[in-house]
Amino acid sequence: MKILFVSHNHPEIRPGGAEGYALDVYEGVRAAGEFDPVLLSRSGPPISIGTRYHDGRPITMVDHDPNQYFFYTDMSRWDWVFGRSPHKGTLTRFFAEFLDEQKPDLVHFQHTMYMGYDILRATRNALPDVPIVYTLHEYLPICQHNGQMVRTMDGSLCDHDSPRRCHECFPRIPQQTFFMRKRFVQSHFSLVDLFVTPSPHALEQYVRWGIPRERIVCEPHGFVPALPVAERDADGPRDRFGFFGQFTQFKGADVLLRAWSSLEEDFQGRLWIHGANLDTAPAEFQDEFRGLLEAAGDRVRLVGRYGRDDLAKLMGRVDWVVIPSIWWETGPLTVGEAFQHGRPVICSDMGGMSEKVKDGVNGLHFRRGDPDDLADALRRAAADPALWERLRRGIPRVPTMAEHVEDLSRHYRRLLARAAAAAPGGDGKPGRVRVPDTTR
Amino acid sequence: MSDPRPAGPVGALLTREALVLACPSGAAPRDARPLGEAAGGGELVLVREGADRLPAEMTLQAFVRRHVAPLPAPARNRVSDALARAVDGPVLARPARALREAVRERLPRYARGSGAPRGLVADSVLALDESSFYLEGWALDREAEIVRLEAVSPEGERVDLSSSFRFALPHLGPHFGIADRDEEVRAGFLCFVELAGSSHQGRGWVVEMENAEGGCLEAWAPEALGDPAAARERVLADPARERLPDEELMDRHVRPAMQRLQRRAEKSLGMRSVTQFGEPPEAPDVSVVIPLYSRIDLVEEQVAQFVLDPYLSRQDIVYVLDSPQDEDELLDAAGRLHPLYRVPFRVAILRRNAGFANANNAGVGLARAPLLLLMNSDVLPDRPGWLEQMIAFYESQEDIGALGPKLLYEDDSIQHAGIHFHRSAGQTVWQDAHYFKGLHRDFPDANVPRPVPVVSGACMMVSRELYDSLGGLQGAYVQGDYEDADLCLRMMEAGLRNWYFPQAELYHLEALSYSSSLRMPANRYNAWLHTRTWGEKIEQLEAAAKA
Repeated sequence: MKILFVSHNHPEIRPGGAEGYALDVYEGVRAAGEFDPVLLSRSGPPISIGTRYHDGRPITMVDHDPNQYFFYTDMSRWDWVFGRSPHKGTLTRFFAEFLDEQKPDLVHFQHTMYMGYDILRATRNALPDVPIVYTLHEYLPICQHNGQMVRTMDGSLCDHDSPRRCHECFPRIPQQTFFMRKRFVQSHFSLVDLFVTPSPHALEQYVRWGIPRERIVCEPHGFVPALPVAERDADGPRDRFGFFGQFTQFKGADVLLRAWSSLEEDFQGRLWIHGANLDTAPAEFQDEFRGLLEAAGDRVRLVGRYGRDDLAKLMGRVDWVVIPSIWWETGPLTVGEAFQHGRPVICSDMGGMSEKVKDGVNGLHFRRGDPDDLADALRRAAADPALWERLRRGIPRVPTMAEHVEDLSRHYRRLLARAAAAAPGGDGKPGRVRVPDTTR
Repeated sequence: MSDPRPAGPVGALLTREALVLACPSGAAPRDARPLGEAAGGGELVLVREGADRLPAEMTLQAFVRRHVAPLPAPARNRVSDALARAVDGPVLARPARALREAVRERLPRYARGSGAPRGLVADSVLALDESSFYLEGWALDREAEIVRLEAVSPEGERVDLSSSFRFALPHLGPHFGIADRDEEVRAGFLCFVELAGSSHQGRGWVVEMENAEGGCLEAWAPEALGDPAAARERVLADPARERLPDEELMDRHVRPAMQRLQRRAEKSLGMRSVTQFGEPPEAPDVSVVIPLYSRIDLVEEQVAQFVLDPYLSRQDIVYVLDSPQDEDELLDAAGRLHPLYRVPFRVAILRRNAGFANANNAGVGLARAPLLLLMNSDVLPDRPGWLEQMIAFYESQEDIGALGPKLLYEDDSIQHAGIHFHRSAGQTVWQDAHYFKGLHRDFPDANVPRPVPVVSGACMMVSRELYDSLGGLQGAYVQGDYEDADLCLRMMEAGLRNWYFPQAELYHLEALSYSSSLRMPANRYNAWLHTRTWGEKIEQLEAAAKA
């Protein structure tokens, strides 16, 4: 049985949580051996430079893996509100041809950005009986604000959409447009057999938004085995902190820097900031971030981009991992990575973070977006080495990618069995309502 | 000096087929058109038939110098006017204009801000068609009563503007030493005028005024505005000058102007093309007619919902493009959308912008099914099943006229649950009023099917036969409202009942489907016209509803 994974980007081109996870799952499924995976990752501007690789068809290989492909789409006219491209032919012709040739038994979308929600209908047209799985990594289908569900006017958290509320966040987009946007997305989502989300909180948000409860499951991410950490000798205070993540306004590196600046002169701790993609953040945030970094002095080091192979070394330098996100997070990978390396986590007290990190058990919570409260947590963490030891002992075992792949595979098997039963010659139950093909 | 009196006919060619002739009285050829007296005696005539067989030994310039120019100014103007009244095309318009230039008496012009005793400005001329125009400006004289206010067409035809609608322009008072702000200065004029001939030259309109003491002014108007959409917008702005619709203004100026524009639009009606996307459905039950105006993007929003409804997907769906400038965009979009959604539909492109009613009527002309569903492009079904339910209900009722579903706003409140009429205290026109508007969609009283005076044209089911027998929607209204009320009231007059049917629920993202700059003034005109047509009937209906 062949499973096609579709992702909006490939880590080869640019790092990112969802795209890295997509590659991990692809490799995990291949390693498990039960299914034959194929990975199709979208490429092209603005993420990758350059033009399409070959004339005549926007499909090309990812180096030498016969089962990994790039799918080039031209996003010069990408519709940021509706999440779709005006170039339908890319989907109805080239993507459909790819499906026709690959003949997957199941298609699992990791993301549809830069391809369009309507890629789901193109899939259903080409493969009327093939199960479609869709992983929801953040809240893009719900929220125009980068899918973060943080309100634009005051940075407060948002817990539900409505045309009126969305229009308040984006006064230049009429509320009728937000209504149509949701209808459009849901029209295509109606073709998905199973949604997967890594966080129980996200699952509830999506059910509230309109995904039927029986068509969505929560499957927390798994992690590829970590390299052993060379533990530093620390008889003294556990006062070294690390930030791992993207430099965007939603990940809260600015909150952490503000908290750091408010610490006393004689605070002996140190902070390493690891991350990338400052260049794609809004200019205002970039300036603010650079200013804060400068003001924070020489006890803060900016490390920049890191890869998975660097993690053990980087984690080994710090005692604590700080996750100060101001958006909900849907099961942040950084928590799993910190735990894998035996690092307690200091994080915002909501969403996917507080689901995974228990205050006083394997980490510390602080009030979302509050530098003073975070500074208190940093002081507390640095002052008491026994606290670190205790929280470290409270860290749970992190699920492995192999376990996660098995969790996904159970869903795949169930969906494939159902599709086989509904197909002609199955158990005779009515199959899916097919849209008549009048294009031929 | 030779005697200017013509011994025999003396002619000058105006065009290859027209000639002016000066001849002794009574000696004019038969069929010649009199233009007035000739200088020094005899008469001037215009000859159209057989002009080539008459002597034409003079240039027009010499002819005018000898036979017209010596006349006193009023007589010269009469000749120019008489020639202009014979103008029936651009060919004759040119020499008529030349004659006017040669003979019209030049009057002084108003110089702004000079503390002058009188002023005259021609703000605009709208060309409604070749022979009807709509003029606006102002004329004010603080010394003596204005006894003559006239417009002169570029070709020389004179039209009396004394029947203009005059309106207050209080800001002019101080410029003419009228200090009292309360004194009404009805200096503004607007006037629908009809020429006996036709006018083809946009430039050259002049307005003249004369007071009781002989004081005169002339004012040149800017080039006439010929674009019908722009003209309509300007005319519709005028009723807003008065708090209540003024019968004189509406009846003598606004309505005839709107009728001319409408007639012009209807003359140019026609289909540029009809394109089928996908296989046409076999024996459809309903033809869904959807006019489009510029918002081509709405097609995908609709089709992405239609595709979820297998029954609707098999009906006869017709998009009618009423903004033909978007033809390429629409055909491109349709060509991209159909392979993805696979819902068959047709795209009809109108030759010219024809307005909401005409676009619907044109779409109905293409309909293949016995039932019609008129639908706006900003209407989205809530869920499948509604159309079958509407058909079943429509067919179950005897004497049914139009059937309208429940329409919702994007926040799930009611936009439409049937329409009646309301007249505010102190108002003279009836406005449409929506039952239960803004209440929740599940409000119990709004969930009972019942006859209502009117159902919204945003989504209306009616049989093709009935629609045709009543002549469809009326183009006299300006796009967007009252066409549906007018049709529904005609149905009631025919003894039928219009029904509201809440089991069918659709969203109507009101006012997305056309631009809103025209909305308020159009509504004012439509409401007035509708009240003028249906006022008595509405009064009976509302009285009966109250009883």
